[in-house]
Amino acid sequence: MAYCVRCGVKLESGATECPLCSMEVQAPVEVIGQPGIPLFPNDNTDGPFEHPKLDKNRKGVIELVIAFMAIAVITLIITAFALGASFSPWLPIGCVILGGSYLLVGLFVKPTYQHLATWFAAITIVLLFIIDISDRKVGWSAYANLSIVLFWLIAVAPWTVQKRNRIYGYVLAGIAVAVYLLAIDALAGNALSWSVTIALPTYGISLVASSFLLLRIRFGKPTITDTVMSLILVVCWGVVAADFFHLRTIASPRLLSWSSSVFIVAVCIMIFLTLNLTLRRVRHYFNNRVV
Amino acid sequence: MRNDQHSDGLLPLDNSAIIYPPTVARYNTHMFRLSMDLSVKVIPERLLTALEHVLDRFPYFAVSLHQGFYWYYFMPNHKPVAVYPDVAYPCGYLHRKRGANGYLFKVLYTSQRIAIEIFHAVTDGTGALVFLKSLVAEYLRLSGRQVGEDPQVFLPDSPMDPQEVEDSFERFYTPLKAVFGFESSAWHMPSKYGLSDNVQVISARMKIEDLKRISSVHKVTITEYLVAELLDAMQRIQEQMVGNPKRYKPVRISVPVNIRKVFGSRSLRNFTLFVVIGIDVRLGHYSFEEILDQVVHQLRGNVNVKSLSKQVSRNVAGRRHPAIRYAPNVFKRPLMKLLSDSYGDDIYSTTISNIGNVTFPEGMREVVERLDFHLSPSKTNKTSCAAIGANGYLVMNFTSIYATKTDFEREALTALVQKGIPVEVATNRNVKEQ
Repeated sequence: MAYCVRCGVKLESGATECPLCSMEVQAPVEVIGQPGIPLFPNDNTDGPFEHPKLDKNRKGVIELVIAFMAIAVITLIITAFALGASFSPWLPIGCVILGGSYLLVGLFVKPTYQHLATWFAAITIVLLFIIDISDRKVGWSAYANLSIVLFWLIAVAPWTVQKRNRIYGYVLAGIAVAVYLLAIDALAGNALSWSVTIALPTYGISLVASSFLLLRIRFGKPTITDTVMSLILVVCWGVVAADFFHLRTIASPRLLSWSSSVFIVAVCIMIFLTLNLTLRRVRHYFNNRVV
Repeated sequence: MRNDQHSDGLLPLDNSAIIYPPTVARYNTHMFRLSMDLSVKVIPERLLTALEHVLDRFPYFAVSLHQGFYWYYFMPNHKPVAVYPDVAYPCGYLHRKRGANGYLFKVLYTSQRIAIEIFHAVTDGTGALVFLKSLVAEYLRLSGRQVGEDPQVFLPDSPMDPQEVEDSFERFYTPLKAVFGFESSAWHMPSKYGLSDNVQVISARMKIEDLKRISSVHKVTITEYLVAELLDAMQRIQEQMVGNPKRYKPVRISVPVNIRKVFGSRSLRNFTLFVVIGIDVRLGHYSFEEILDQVVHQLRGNVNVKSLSKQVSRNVAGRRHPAIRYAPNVFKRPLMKLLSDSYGDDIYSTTISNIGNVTFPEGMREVVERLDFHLSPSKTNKTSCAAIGANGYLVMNFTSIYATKTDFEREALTALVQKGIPVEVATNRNVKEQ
């Protein structure tokens, strides 16, 4: 039998490492000894242990959520029977199920952003739709559900693919925004109007401006000042474009109205960014370091 | 086949058992294990016969667990009982229906070992020890050996004392208007080091004589000394793992106390309470002597009829409260899970259960070579310690759900070595994989 030189404990016969510190035993075989009967059999003849899938707290919270949901739904149904036609329980029941489902999703679903966001979005869409069709026609839920789908396409879909394919996710999100604008316009009226003349061109300008910023981030090393000013510039161009296309739609003789000042700000920022990019002294002055 | 002479109707869970069924989970199996290594070969067929004989004497162990409208309850189990080969990882989850034919315990064997793993709702360490001793004694008798008398060895044909099956918490309950304090959270070793689905064991064996010697120097008992060592080890681990002293939390150890002697009970079901002993590390580093002072003061101050009656009163009054008593089990279950953490696992950092020195009757003493006791750890307290003494040796089994981390065990055991106590360690961990 050997001793661990680090821990000082005596090791069982045949042990080649200390179980406490994993220190290898450097001793002749006579000292280490022959392996004796192990503490437990090496082969697990009983097969792998089965165990409950969930831990204690998770199970407790799940059961509690279901219990409270059941109580709330039963109470609402009883109230509806008592009050008759003056009270419709469907909206509050929908809200209870929505709230409870969120909690259960949080506990059941794999805790990653993509899984949770997808489940939350799907549950919300289904429940909003069910609540809306209680009067047998689809109304407000179409707008809300379209927005949820758009959110999913922009903020979740790109993260469901592998990193190297993420560019396709961004392209999909870009197309989704354009489709969303057209769909909202179509839902609001009988024909496409403002989406074609104002929203899509404005969106296009903003997209081009954003692309410059993204390219800069991807291939350059913009400083914080650069990034913030570029973001402001993107917003400014979007605002100016919206005003410009609106004036064209109403056939105004003016080139720009209230957004003239924003245009001047945008030009100033562009000049600043150009100087910052080209002149070392400016970079040094605004960033307090030589880049 | 078993002869169900004692089996009759429903058996309610005892007062401390009601918390176990609803809180069973992946890392909280609530199983514990006692095993005896023998110098004779174990024949499974004979062991099964011995088990069938002994189980007739312990009808309150031959039960299955059921879920009622208000509470869980036991029912006599008439299914055939079995013995199982021992497995590499102790204290695994036992499914209450499929695990062992509905029984809430498993008798395991190797070529020279008889072990019992039992769900804590059935009994505590003392009850399980009596059962195991009776089983091994019966096995030895069937093997043609003479086994002498012992107060903890029950013969299969001996009459059952009605007190064995009683819920002593109910018997010794006195309505008290005591104020119950709420302990803050204790420090727990973090989960980030990787957990294993199986219970990993580090077993340390040392001479009782050595422990007695060092305990007598400090004028404390062996349990008090070991509790102090574990507190000190846990204090050091917190200091190593938590960089900022502002984030320190108190370090506490739960010590189960067998209260049968205190109250004069002969029950073989659960009759154990927990005394939580701790040091507030936020006040500064405690020297070993300071820890020992705290342990002695807190342990002796809490193990007396009045302090323990307060706990008994709290437990029984809680169960008897109409709002709890008549609440359906479906509502009680989740609340118990949440409360068991607030009033249980969360307020201490680890557990040490010391059954003490076990003696054997003539005929058994020569055959039993080693006695082991294992507790199942929990998700909150990832390492537990169980100690038991026999044949002049004390075996401390550290059970852990940490896949590879053994810092706590190392701190505790090297401290003993540094104080001159030779310690021999063994493990079921696959050391090569670490």
